[in-house]
Amino acid sequence: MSTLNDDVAMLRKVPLFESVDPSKLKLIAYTSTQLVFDDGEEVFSQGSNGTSAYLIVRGETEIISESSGKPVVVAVHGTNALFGEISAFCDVPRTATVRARGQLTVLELKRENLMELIREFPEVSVEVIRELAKRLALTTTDLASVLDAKAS
Amino acid sequence: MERKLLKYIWRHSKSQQLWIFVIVLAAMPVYFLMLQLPKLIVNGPIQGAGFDTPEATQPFLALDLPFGELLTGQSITLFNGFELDRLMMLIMLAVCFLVAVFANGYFKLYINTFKGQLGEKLLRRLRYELFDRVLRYPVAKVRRVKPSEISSVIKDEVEPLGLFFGDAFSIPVFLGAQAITGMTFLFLQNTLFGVITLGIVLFQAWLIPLLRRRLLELGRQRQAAARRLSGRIGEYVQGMDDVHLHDASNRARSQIWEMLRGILAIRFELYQRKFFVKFINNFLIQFLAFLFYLLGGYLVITGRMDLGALVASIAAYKDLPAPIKGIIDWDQQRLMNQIRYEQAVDDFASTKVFPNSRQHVEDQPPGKITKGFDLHGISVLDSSDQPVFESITNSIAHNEAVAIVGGTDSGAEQVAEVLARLLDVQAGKVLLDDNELEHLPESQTGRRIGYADSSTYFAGGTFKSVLAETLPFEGDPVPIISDLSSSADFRKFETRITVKRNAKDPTLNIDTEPAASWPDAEIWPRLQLVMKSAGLYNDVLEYGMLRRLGTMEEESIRESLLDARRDFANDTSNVQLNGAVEFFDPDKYSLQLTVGENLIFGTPMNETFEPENLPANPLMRTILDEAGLLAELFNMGLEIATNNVELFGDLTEDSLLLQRSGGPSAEKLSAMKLAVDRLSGTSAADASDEDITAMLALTLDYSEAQARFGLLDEALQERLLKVREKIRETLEAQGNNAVAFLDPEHFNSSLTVLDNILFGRIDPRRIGARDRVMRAIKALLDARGISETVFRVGLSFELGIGGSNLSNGQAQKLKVARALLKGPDILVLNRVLSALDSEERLGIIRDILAMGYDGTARDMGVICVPLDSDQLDQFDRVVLMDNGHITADDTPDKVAGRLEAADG
Repeated sequence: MSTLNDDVAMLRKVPLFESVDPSKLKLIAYTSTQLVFDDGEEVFSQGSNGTSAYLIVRGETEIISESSGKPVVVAVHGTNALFGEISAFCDVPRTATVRARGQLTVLELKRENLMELIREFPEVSVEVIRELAKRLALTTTDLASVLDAKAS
Repeated sequence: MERKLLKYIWRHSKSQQLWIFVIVLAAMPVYFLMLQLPKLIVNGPIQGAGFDTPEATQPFLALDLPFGELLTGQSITLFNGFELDRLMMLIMLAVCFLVAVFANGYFKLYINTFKGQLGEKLLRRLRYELFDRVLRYPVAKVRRVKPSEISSVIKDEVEPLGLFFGDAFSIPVFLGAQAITGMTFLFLQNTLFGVITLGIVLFQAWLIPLLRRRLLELGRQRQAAARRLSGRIGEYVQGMDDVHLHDASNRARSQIWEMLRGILAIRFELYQRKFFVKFINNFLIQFLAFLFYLLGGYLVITGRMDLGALVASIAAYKDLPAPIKGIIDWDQQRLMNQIRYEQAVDDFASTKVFPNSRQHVEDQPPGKITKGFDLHGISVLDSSDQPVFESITNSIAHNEAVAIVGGTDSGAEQVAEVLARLLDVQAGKVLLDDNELEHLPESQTGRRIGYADSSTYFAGGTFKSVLAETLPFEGDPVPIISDLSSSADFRKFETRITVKRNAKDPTLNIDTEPAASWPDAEIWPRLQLVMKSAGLYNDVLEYGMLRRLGTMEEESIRESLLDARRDFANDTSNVQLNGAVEFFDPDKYSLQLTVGENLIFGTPMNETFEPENLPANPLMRTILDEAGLLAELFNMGLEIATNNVELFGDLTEDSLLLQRSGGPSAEKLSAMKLAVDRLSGTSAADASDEDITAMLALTLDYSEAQARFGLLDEALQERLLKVREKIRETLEAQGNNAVAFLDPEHFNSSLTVLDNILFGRIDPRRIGARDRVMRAIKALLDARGISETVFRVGLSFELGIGGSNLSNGQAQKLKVARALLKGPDILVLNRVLSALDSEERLGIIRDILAMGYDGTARDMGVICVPLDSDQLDQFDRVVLMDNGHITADDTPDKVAGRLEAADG
C-alpha cells in the first residue's frame, strides 16, 4: 500500500502540479481516493458526466474514442499519467472512454476538493493556470500545423 | 347501545351494585359501634359511672333480647355477660374500640376496592364495546373519522366514568336514607321546623337544576373542544412534513393556541358556575341554621316554645346538611358523567354497524368459491351523491382472469372495491356464489378473496407478523358485544386482576409477533412461492443477510454458514473477486482496520472494549505495557497528531476541505495542535496518564489504509499481532466474553450472516466489488441450500412505524404477497404496484396470472384493474369501462381495437 508521501512524490511528477507547494500536494493526496479496477473495467465512459481527474498509480489504461461509431483505442497511458482533468475543471462530458488494461490503481482527485484547495490557497491556481496555458499553446501549435497540412 | 348512563350501569353491574349495598349495610353497626365506644369508655371506666366502690363490677357483653321490652313488657336477658372491675373494663372496652376501628377500616378498604374494581371492569367493558363497534363500522365511515378522535374517546373521555360507576347507586341510596332519617327526626321534634327545612330543600331542588343548565352545556362543549383538539393535534403530527414544507408551524401554533384558549374559557366558566352553585347550596343550608336560631329564639323568648324542644331540633338538624350536600354533589357528578357518556357514545351508538353475524367465528373453515360474482345493476354514489358508476351488470366466474380497464374516473377502481367489500352499493345487488355479498360473513370473503391496492401503510411489526396476520386467527376469540351477551361469556377471558409488584406493565407483553415456529412446514412452500411471485424474495434474502442469527437457529445452520465461508475463501474460480476481499486472518495485520480493531480483532460485547473506551481499558494498557509497546504507541500518537497538524494546520477552522477530507474535526485538530506543542520531545515515561490515554486514542483510531501516513512497518505489525494474541489468551483464560473474536474456524454470532460468510472486508477502493461479492455469496447460499434459512431470518426484519423502513415499491409488493398468501379463490388487484416501473409491474402480474394456471384452467380467479393498458392478452377477458359504464366486454384481442381507438 502506498503512503501519502509516495502519492505526493507521484503528484510532483505531474506537470500540472509540478510547481505546487509539497505541503499542498499532500493535502491533495489526502483528500483523494485510491481506486482499483480489474482488467477491462471502465473508469468512465465517453459522454458521461464526471467531475474527477485520475492519476495512474500502477497499471495501464486504454483511452478509447467512440466518436466514429466504432470504439478505437487512441492511446495507452501508464504510471504517473493524469487523465480526466478537463472535466475536473469545467463542465464538459467525458471526451473518451477509459478502461483498465490489466489491474489498475488510480488516485481519484475530486473537483470539489481541487476547487476548494484553489480557493484556500490561491497561489496553487497560478501554477494550474500556467500549466493549462502551456497546454493551450501546444494545442494551438498542433492545430496550426494540422490546418497547414490540410491547406497544402 | 344504551344511551342513559345509569341504565347502562345498572344493566351491566346489577348484582355488584346490590352487593355493595349489602356490604355497606353490614358495615353500619360496626361504624355505629366505633362512634359509641368512646362514649362508653369515658362515661364508664374513666369517669367511674357504675363503679362506685373499688370492688364494684359491671357486666361486659351482656345481651338482651332486642325489642324484648316491647314484645313482652319486660326485658329478657339472653346473656348476663362477664363481671369486670373498672380497670379490666377499661382494657376490654379499649380493645373493643381497637377491633371496631380495624373492622371499620377493613370494611372501608373492602368497599373501596370493590367499587374500584367494579368501576374498572365496567370501564373495560365500555371501552371494549366502543372498539368493537369501530370494528363493525362501515369502511366508508371509518375513512371519514379522525383516528385520534376515536382513540381520544375510547382512551380519555370515558376514563372519569370509572370513578363514578361504583358510586352510581350506593351513594344516593345511603345519603338519601340518612337525609330522610334526619328529616323524619326533625319532623318528630318540631313540625314547624320540619316544614321550613323541607321547604328550603325543595327550593334547592328546584333552583339547582336551573343554575346547572348552563353548566351542563359547558360540560358538553368542554368535551367536544377537547376532542377537536386531539383530532387537530393528530392531524398536525401526521402531516408534519407539510408543516415544515409550507412554513405552517406558526399557523399551527396559533390554531392550537386558539383551541387551548377556547378550552380555558369554557373550563373557567365551568369552574365559576360550579363553585357558584356550591356557594348557593351552602348558603341555603346555613340559612336554615339562621332561621332556627332567629325563629326558634324568638319562640323561646316569647314563651311559645320550650328551650328543650329547640335544642333537640337543632341537634336533629345538625345531621342534615352533610347528606344533602352529598346528594347534591352526587347529582352533579351524575349529570356531568351522563353528559360525558352521551357525548362519548353518541357517534358510536348512532353509527349503523354491521350485524355481529358478519364477524362471528365460524366452526367450519369457509368453503371454496365455486361460481363467482354476479353484479346486478349496481350503482355507487360518491360523497356528494354523484354516481361513480351506474347500473353495472356483469358476471365474473371464479376461474377467470378478468381485466377491468378504465381511467381514474371510469369507476373501475370502485368496482374492485365493491367486490372486496370496501365500498357499499347504493343500488343493485352483488352476489357471490348466489348469496348476497353483504350478508356473507367476513370469514368467507376475508379468506377466500384476496385484495391488494397501492396503499403502502403497515401498522408496523415484521415481515413475518404482517404476513401471519392475514391468516385465520387461531386463538380463542373474545366474544363480540351484543345486547344478548352476558358477563358469563367473558368469564373465561378473566384472569385475576393482579399486577405483581415490580412486574412489567402487563400490556407490554401483548405480542404481535406470531409464534417462533411460524412459518411452519405447511405454509412455508407457499410463502416462498408467494414472495417470489411478488418480487420480494430477494429483498427479504438481503435483509436476512444483514441480520444476525438469533439464538434459536440450529447448530446445523451455523455449520452450513461456516462451510459457505470456506467455500467463499477458497473460491479461486472467481478471479473477479481476487484481491477485492481482505479476509479476517488472526495471524495477519489488516491495514484496512484501525490499530485498535487490529488489537482486539473481534466485536466488543462489553462497553469497556468499545473503541472509545479502549485507550483507558486497564487490560489493554497492562498488556501493551508488558509488550513494551506503550511508549512506542505513545510516540506514534504524537506522530499522528504532528502529521495532522502539518496537513491541516494551515486551513481555516470552517474549511470545507477539512470537513470533506475525512480528516479530524476542527476541535480534535486544535487539541492535536496543543498536544504537539506540549508533548514534542516528551517520552511516555514523563507523560501524564491523561496524555498517554489521549495519544493512545489517536493511535488506536489510526487506520493505515485511510490516513496513509506510513507509520506501521512490518516489525511493528508483528509486535501488534503478538498483543492481539495475548489479549485473546488473557480474556479466554479469564472466561471473559467481552470480545467476540474473529476466528475463521468459528461462527461469530455478533456478525451478520453476510459478514459471517464474507469474513473479511471488501476493499473500499474497489467500486463495484460489493455487487459482485453479494452475487457470489447469494450463489453460495443457494448452492449450500441455506438461502431458505437466511430468507427466514430476513422475515424478522422490522418494517417500522407505518411500514417506513420499506420503500413504497416493497410495501406494495408486500400487500400483494399478503393477498396471495392465504391462497384466495379470487384475487382482486386494484391498481397495484404503482411505485414500480411498468416492466417490473407487468412481470409480477404475469407471474401471478401463471399461479395455479395449468394452461387450460385456473384454480385462482384474478380480477385486475391494471395501471397499464398493454399486455392485456394475458387475461381471459377484458371489461372496458368509461365514465361509470361498461363500454366493452370481450376477449382481449377483440377489445384491443376499441382500446386503441379510445387511446387514439
